Amino acid sequence: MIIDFCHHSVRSKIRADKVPFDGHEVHNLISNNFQRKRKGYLSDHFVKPPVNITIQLPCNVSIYRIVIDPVIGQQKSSDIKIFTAKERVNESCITDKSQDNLSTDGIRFNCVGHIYQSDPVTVCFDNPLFKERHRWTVENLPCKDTYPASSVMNSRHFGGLSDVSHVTVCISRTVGAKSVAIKMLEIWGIPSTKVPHKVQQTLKDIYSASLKKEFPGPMAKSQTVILEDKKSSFNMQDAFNEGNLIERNGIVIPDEFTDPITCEIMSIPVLLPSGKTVDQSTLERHVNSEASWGRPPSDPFTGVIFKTGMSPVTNVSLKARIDQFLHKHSDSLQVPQTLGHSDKVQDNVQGGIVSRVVEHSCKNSQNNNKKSNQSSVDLNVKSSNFDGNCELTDFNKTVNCFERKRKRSGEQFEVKKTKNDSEYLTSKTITSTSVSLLTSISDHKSDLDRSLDSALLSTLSSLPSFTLSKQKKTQNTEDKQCSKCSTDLSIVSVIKYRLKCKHLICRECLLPSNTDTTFSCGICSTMYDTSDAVRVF
Amino acid sequence: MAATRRLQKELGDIRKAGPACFRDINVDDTNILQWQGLILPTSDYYKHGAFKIQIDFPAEYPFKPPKITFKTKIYHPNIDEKGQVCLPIISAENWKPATKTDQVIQALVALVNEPEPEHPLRADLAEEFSKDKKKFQKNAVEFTKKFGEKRPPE
Repeated sequence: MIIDFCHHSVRSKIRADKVPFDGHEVHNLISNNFQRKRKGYLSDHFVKPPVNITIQLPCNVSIYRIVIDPVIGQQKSSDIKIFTAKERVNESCITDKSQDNLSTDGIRFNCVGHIYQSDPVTVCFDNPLFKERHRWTVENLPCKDTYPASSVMNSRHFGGLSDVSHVTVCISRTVGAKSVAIKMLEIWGIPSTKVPHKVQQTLKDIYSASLKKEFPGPMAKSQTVILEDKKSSFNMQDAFNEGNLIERNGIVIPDEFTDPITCEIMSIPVLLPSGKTVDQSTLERHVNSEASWGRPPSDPFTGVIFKTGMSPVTNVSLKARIDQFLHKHSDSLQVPQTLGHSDKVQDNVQGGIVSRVVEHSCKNSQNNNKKSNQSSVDLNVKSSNFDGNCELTDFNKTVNCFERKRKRSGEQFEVKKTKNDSEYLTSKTITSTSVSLLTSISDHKSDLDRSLDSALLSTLSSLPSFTLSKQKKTQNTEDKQCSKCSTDLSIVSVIKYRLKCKHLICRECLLPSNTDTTFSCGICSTMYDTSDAVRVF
Repeated sequence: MAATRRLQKELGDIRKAGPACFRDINVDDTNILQWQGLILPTSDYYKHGAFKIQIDFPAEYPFKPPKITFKTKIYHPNIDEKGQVCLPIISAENWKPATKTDQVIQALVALVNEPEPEHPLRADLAEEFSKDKKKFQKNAVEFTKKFGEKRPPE
């Protein structure tokens, strides 16, 4: 036989690292209540991906298959990664009824499977290296082709799939930037060879007893019944959805949630000086059409021109209530939500965040430079320090650099400071949240290094460079004289040219005769054609 | 389409509690952007008839104004022979997206009731209206009786 380790009888432990939406707690996934199990896990409306759902198995398990249904109503999770860990599990918890908390501190996770679906459907992750054993054979499970989507799991690490203690499902993207959803999770497997026979037998007894209780009759039949039942419930729900989509008014939408101008549900409500609330897109269109008549932005109701203290503000509390409402009725209302990260496909989410922060900080530093000339002198000194450290790849050193810079810059660099803070924080959160999961992915570190490198370079490129101006200074003596005749070139009337070797030459020396088109540089005596010289002013 | 939901709401509101001067609203199920209806002016010149109008909403409604045309001929200084009306609140320049269709219709009926000879589309009628009110009234009543629609029962 083969066991679904998300079945309530085997007492797996489950935890999600983000807040659930009311009634869609993560424990639904392993609940013994059919109603609750059907609801699945849904993150709260303000939660952004990634969300990690970790299951601690009752004993070490050899995994055969993981099935995930990532769709609840309009909420669909598109990017799913599966991680496993192979700690030793204390098997006493099979019989132990106490619900102690699941902790993942210090556990190393390895990535074993990854799928991205632009239109998510139920996906089946198979382990091609799974080995059956005596009395633990795969039976009564549907072929993987019966699932709408399938993927394979593999592990570069020994025991990554054959001796698993924890499984983490990480959802890093959702469709339409909506909430993270997992409607159903099944982890099919058998106890690993290391598990004592006694425990294996206990587990088997518990599982089959509980199945018999739920579905009296032959096992084979009962299993197919489960599947058919699930399918029919899907179909019913689909039909239900369609019905509601046509008859939108089946749901009473409070007047305050709709835009008084377009009568659509608002996604970003904005409070106007007139006291009315409209959607931001409506206001933008109005402002654009006013601009086409050459008029400044004004209130679409009163026509009063916006000024400081009389300008639109986002209605945050209303937005929260609208999101709550949309979340509740997400099955039947198709309204864009404004959570989650941007629409671009990002293979490396963390890299994206860093580069975005840096983009932002570049702007900040530019502003900063404009703001105070005095401080830009300070900056020069610091950036000279920086040039030397430019090739640093070590993450810690970079952070130290920022820190040092921050300390020196002192109070006058408020903007700069926040930038450094945010960068530091981002890096910090990356390390703290994902250190256990991601350190083991070998290419992640190099990715991080690369993104930090590019981040550092782009930050530096926006700062004035001290070393460059130094170079200019050394050139200055050469700048003043022609490389051949040593004429003073600082006199405005003398026409001067620059050669490829950066040395200067005056017009007289460049064109000694009409026939000869080649000449040599007086300092480094390289031969050039006259056309190679570029005039400088 | 952005216009649909707003128009559905406005149509529902007007049918439920619209102005008494706008009746028999006829909207094609397949095209909610075109409305037809009868307006019933109350002034002495036109009180003997009803006038069929057509309102065409652009797809960008409510960010662009609707257009109103008279399908019934009318003897009016501000409405030309083709049925075009010069109504300031639905001119592209003055249009406010918050303006509702029932406000537009009320403005239209007010204009029909009280012609504005200062901004005429038909200069001859405007001159007649400002110089010889009696003659204008006689012509208007005759014209309305000849071309106007039958007023629906109250």
